[in-house]
Formats: sequence, structure tokens, C-alpha cells
Amino acid sequence: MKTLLLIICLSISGVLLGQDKYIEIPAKDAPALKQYKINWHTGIDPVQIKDGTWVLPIKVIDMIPSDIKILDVAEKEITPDLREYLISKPTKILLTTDFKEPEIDPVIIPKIIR
Amino acid sequence: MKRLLFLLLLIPALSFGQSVYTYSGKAVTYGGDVVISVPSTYCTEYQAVYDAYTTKPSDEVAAIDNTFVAGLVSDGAWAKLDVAWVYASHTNGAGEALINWKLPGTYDATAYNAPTFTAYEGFLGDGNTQYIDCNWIPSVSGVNYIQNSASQIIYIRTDVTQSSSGHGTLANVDSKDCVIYPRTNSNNAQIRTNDALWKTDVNADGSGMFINTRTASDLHKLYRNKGVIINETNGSIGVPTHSPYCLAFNDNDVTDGFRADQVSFYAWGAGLTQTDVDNLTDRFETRMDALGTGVIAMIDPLEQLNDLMFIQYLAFQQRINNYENIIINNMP
Repeated sequence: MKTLLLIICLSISGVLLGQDKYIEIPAKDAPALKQYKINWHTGIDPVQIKDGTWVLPIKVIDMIPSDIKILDVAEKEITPDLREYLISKPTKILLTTDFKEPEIDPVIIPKIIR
Repeated sequence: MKRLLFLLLLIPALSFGQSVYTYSGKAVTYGGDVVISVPSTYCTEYQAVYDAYTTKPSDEVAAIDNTFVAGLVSDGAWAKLDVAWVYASHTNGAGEALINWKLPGTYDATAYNAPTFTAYEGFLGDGNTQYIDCNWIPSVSGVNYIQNSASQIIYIRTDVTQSSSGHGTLANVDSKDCVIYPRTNSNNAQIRTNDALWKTDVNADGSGMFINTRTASDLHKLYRNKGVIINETNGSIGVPTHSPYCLAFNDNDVTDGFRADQVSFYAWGAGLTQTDVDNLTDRFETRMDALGTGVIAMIDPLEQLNDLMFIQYLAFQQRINNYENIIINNMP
């Protein structure tokens, strides 16, 4: 019962903290997966987080059919099945704070009140 | 008796100006006139969208969308747009919500990393990885969108406070940016409109229809729900050379500034007047209200009621048409 309560508490706190599960993509494969289209309206695009890891949200697996082959820039096959490839990769739970801030910082120009 | 019942069924249709039908191979007459079947039609612009759908919307929804498009065509605002995506579509099973309504099949958008789609609401970003690429580069494919007459239009259902994040294209080495930050942590809205200088003013609500428009080399504005919230004189530099994004911005072909907004409509086109802004905002809000997902409180409730009643009337008309067709098709 205590364990169950602990799990529930951790789950709720995780949701509140904006935690989500992501797939880790090897850095060597990330360029080949940049804006990779599954079909004309759906694609994946790994994002690099603060610690240098490339990630994809785990929910992308649901939208990928089998038999989608991925080649790297040298036309060398990374995987014959993108879905299986993603499923085989490790996952990690991340917070919003794990992601990089945009490199551009807005310069606030105060408006002169006339 | 059957014939009498059938003629009684025709009365409501005829009262809506529709003349219909044959029965048992003979023309049915009413008041001396031959009754013929007239299938419901959509305006050419919406018909192209409807034809592009793999899964069609219900007749009621199609009537609502047709009213939205036909209204903008008659207003003149439709012709000023280059690209328009109604994310708040009935489904996205086959990319229906990512079709470019201005020219289906060309510049259809692509959703990356599975932003959450909700029917009649649109796409929700996670603020970390998810975004939509317009697949349309203003400097290459802009027709109405030019350096000193340009608009970026976005309808946001959520009110999110988030700094350093926005929709569009930003931080490009050629300084040709166009972006909207709807609401920052300091309760400001910020824009760039074919330039590289931030313009900022107070905005404490990130939801609604935002229209970032440039109408002269030294005049650009940000409207929210028809009201001007930024009015500036910064000079233009040029048309963006990168495809704009939604739920993030395109930073020299690197995705950055992800936002956790839920977006229903995104469009780009020529610079817009206050009248255009009013028409676009009202027409889209009326559509969303008819679908039960609008977020803008209309200023004139009577006007809104009239619009809603008109849409209901059109939907009712469509339904009658369908019933009639079913009856006709099942006639012995």
C-alpha cells in the first residue's frame, strides 16, 4: 500500500514538474534524422539538450510504421527499420529545464510613453 | 398517401429556395413548377480543400468551413493570403489538418515530433521538441508577401507565458526575420516583421488572433483580437529566406524557441488593413464558435448571435438536402 502511494505521489509530482520520456539518439545518427519525413505531413527531428544528448519524444514511435529505412549522409544504411531502431534506444525522463534555452535573447526596447 | 407524404417532406426544402426531384420517373411539380434536385455546392476555394481531404468532414462542418472561406473571399482578405493552414480541422489521420487551404497539395505543412492534435482545436506543442514546418519560403514563394507588405497571422487557443519562444523565423544571418512572441514572462508581446529589431509592448494574454503586419517600409503593427498592441516605425530589411515554423521558430535552419501553445490557424500574406484584420478575426472566430472551440469574447453579442444563427441555418439547409437525397435514392 505504501509503495502504491509512493508511486502515485511520484507520478503526480512528475506530471506537475513537466517530466516526459524521451528516446536518446546517438550523436552520429542525429544528422541523418534531421527533419526526416515519415510521410508528407509527419516527421521526426532530434533536438539537442543541455548535456549534449540528442533526443526525440517517445510518442513519435506511435506514428512510425514498420519498414522505414534510414540512410546516413553517405547513403550508408543506419537502420532497415526506423521504428525498431527507435524502440531499441535507451530512454530518459527529462524536465523542461534540461532543454537548451534559445541562443537569441530578446533585446527589450522600452516603449517611450508619449 | 405516399405521394402526399413525399410532397409534405418537400415543403421545408422549397421554403429554403431549393427546388427538387422526380418521383417514379416523372417530374414532380409544385405550384406548377417542375421540381428538380440541386446538389449543395461549395465555393470554388473551399471545394478544393474539401476535395483534398482523405476523410471528409460532416456536412455541417463543411458548411461552416465553406461559410468561413466564402466570407473571406467576398471580403477580399482571401486574395491577400499566400498560404493558410486550418489546424483546427475535423481530423489529422491523413494530414488533413496540415493542408494549405490556399492551394491544397502545394506548401502543405509537416508536423515534427508529434505535436498533439485535437479535432476542431488544432496542434499543441510541448515547448521542447514539437513544431510545424510551413514548407514555404517567403523569399522564394511569396506572392502577396513582399518586403513592405507582409503579414503573419496566428490564432492561439491557449494563454501561455513563455520567454525566448515564438512562431516564425528568427535570428537569421541575413537579418530577414518575421516572428511573434505572443506573451513573454514579463507580459509583453514582441515582433519582428521583415527586419531584425525587436518591437515590444505590453500584452498579458497569449491567446486569440495575433496579426503581425507590415504595410509600409517604416510601418508595422501587431494586432491582437482586432486591437493594435504594437505600432512601430522600424524600417524593413527584406523577406525571410527561411521557411517559417509554428510552435517554434526557424533559426537559420535550426529549430529553436519552442512554445507550448495550441494553435488553430496559421497564415501568411500581404500587409493587412484594419478592415482586413477585423474580417479575418471575425470570420475565423465565428467558425470556431460554431464548432464550440472559439476563445475570443466577441464584442457585439448580437452580431455573434446573428452569425451563429446564419451558420446554423446553413447547416440545417445542408441536413435537409441530405434527407431529401436519401429519400430520392430510396424511392422505388
